[in-house]
Amino acid sequence: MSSLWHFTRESLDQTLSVLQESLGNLKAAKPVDTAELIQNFESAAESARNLRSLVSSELPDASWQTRDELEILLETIEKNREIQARRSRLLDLAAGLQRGSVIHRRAARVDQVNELRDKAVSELQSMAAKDEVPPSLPGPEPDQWVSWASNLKEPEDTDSLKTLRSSFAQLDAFVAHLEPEMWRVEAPSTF
Amino acid sequence: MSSIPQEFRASLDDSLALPFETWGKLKAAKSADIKEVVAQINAAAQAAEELRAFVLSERPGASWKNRQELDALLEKIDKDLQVRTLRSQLLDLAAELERGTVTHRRAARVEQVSQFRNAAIKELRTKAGAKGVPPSLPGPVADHWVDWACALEEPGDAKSLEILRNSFPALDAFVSHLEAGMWQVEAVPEATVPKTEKARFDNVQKDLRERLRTLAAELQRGSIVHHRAVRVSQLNQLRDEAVKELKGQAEAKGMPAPLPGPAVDEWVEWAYSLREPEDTESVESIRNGFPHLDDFVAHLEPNMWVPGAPDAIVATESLEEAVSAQPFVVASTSQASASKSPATATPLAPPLQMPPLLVDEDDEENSFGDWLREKKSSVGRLPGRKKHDTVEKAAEPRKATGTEGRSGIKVTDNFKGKRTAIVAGGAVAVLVLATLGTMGWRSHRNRAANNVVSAAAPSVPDQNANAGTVLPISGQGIEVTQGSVAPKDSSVLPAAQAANTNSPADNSKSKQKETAPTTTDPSKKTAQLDDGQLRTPTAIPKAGNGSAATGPDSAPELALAASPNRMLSTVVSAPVAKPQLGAPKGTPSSGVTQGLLLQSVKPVYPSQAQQAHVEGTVVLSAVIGKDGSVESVKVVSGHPLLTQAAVDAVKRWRYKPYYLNGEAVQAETEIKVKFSPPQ
Repeated sequence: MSSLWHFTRESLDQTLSVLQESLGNLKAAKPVDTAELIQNFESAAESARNLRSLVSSELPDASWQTRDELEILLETIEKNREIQARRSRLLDLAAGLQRGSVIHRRAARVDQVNELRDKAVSELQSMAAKDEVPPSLPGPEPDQWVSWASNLKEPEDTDSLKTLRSSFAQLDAFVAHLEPEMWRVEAPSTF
Repeated sequence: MSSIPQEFRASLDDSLALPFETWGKLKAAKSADIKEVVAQINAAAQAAEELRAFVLSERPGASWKNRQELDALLEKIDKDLQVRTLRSQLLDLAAELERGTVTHRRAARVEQVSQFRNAAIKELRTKAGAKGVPPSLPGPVADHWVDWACALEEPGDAKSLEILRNSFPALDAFVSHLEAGMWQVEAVPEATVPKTEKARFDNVQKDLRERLRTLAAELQRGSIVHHRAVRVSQLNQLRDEAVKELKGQAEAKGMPAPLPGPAVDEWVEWAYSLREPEDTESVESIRNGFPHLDDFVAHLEPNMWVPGAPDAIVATESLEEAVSAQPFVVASTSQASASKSPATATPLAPPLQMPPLLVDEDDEENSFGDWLREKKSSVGRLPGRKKHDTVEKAAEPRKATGTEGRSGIKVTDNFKGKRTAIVAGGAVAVLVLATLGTMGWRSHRNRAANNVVSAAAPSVPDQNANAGTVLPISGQGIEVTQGSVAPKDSSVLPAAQAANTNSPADNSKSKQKETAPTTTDPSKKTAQLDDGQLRTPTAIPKAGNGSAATGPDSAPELALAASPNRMLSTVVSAPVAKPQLGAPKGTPSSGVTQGLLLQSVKPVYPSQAQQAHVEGTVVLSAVIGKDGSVESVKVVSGHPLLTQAAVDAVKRWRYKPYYLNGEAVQAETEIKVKFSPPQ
């Protein structure tokens, strides 16, 4: 979940915690700083408003009555956001692979690796297009991904290689045949 | 019916309902109307403060950490209050029974039922005073109770009758013998009866606030005297802080902390005589509730405090003291010096020569300053007070030289500057007016009595009679002091008495009168003198209205009695003669006074006053009729929560008629009723 979500939710909960203590004191007829109490109420109302806006932006038709119902909504939103993030990551990597070029002294080797690259791109795009939750792609951001993957070694990077092999077979085959110096990526054109 | 703690708790919880509901909404990130919440929070804060004040007023020093502990505390208080309410119901009914009258065509029946009534009253009071929870009295409030009880029938009201019979047999016997129409009670004004417990509480709160304000004013009026300016300055600072604290608490929200001690005019004297460990409870109560006030009285020694006279009473300073000690009491130079020593002072008072109205702050020669120093020294001479060494020093040069002494004492910082001039001017002006008023009144009386007065003026009763007599009324912490009785009408005295009042000093006084620079009317000069003594005016003529004191209906009021000034205390307890033209008159001694009282009714210590820990003395001025009944009672001083109970009781007192020359006469007396918490 994004830091904004976390911040808004934590801010609301922290303010409510202080408020609860103050209201408890007031209920016990203990002296309280009413100005601070009112300020905390206003602050909590502000945090609640922000949280409501975030929920509405994700689920415009969402409605809830209690904190429990809100928690369920927030979990759903979190799940959706995670799926979306995974899909984006696969599509971004597919685009990155398409943008790069394979270089080798032998044309046959270039053709072979290009074919593997094309299959990997197709695999990534098809996985991102599925309704189900796509598998999590290990490694860094797409622009550094090929470099990271082509340097994976066994047995040090067994976990990452296992995940690659099991979830992204075509992509694994591509990076297995790609030597670090065979991949060149043109910088994205800037306008 | 909900109790006070329940009402307070409910009020707090009601106010907190919305904030808690809003808290729940905000937790679910729902929208909420914060403006409404703000209003409720403020209301809740006030309710919490009131509840807190209430708890602390019931249990000073109580502490709690959470709602659970508070609830436990409230439950205990609730139980106490219930017991108190039950007791109050019994005492109220006892008072109601006492107030009523049994009427019947047969005297024997009246006597019989009255005996039952008295037994019922005794029973109610005994049960109210017993330890533990008193039995619950069935039926309505006291003023409707007898009617209700008389209408009880068997078998319909068997349950109430059974409770009555079992728990209050004497009361049951009384009402079973009482028929409808046999019972008459004077109506009590509706406004004096609080409707609910909450209303009672509000009244207590109001009274407490008023008490704090009045004490603040009292502290501001008084002066601090000491031979070291720095000490005066230090105490003035403490006094200012105490005043600020009292005013602050009086204006603060919620129930102010209860101020222990007597009526405000006696408070400072009471407070600086507190001692530990004997008075630990009072000392702690002051210390906890009023730390600055405690600080002030802790630093104050008895002879350092000169209570300030209220504006209208300044002139009613005890003239006897003034005559015996004041340097400005001068008729002629030679006689004035003789009058300065109490041992040699003639009882004949010369006319007064006033000090200058404006006082230069650097002028230590001013006579008003000297007068005040004398006033201070007279405080030092009061019985039971430690004489301040500097006061003695101040008196020495006067004795030695016979001239106006220069004490060199810094009397008080209040005597400096313009404030000094205003105080001095005010005191002197009122003193002048009082003197003129008395002279005018005397003059009028003289004319009305065919010039008999000059030969037989009413005497000021012996000061020894002023001390009053403690009447044997016990219980409930109430003590009643009976002052001596003065005739309501004293324009003419019996010849024998008149003869006794003529002292040999009269001749010298006459000389003094004639040499007085301020007196031109011989009749007025005569009116100043009674029985060889300067007569204290009992009312202060209003400025600019000298005629007010000369009319026959303008009998002097007991103005001094309301004075908080300790220096006036001897006059406060003195009987005051109110002249009434054309009626018989007489002056019984204090011993006779006590003997005159046939029946006294014990005042009821009002529950409100008990709740608020209010105690003190109520001073009353009562007129005893020719038939011995108390015709009228006036409150001279006392706490508002106590005065009505004192008046109610004294109104029911019976005296033997006072006879003068074989004729019953009206008489006026002063009665002090002291309320202190029951042990």
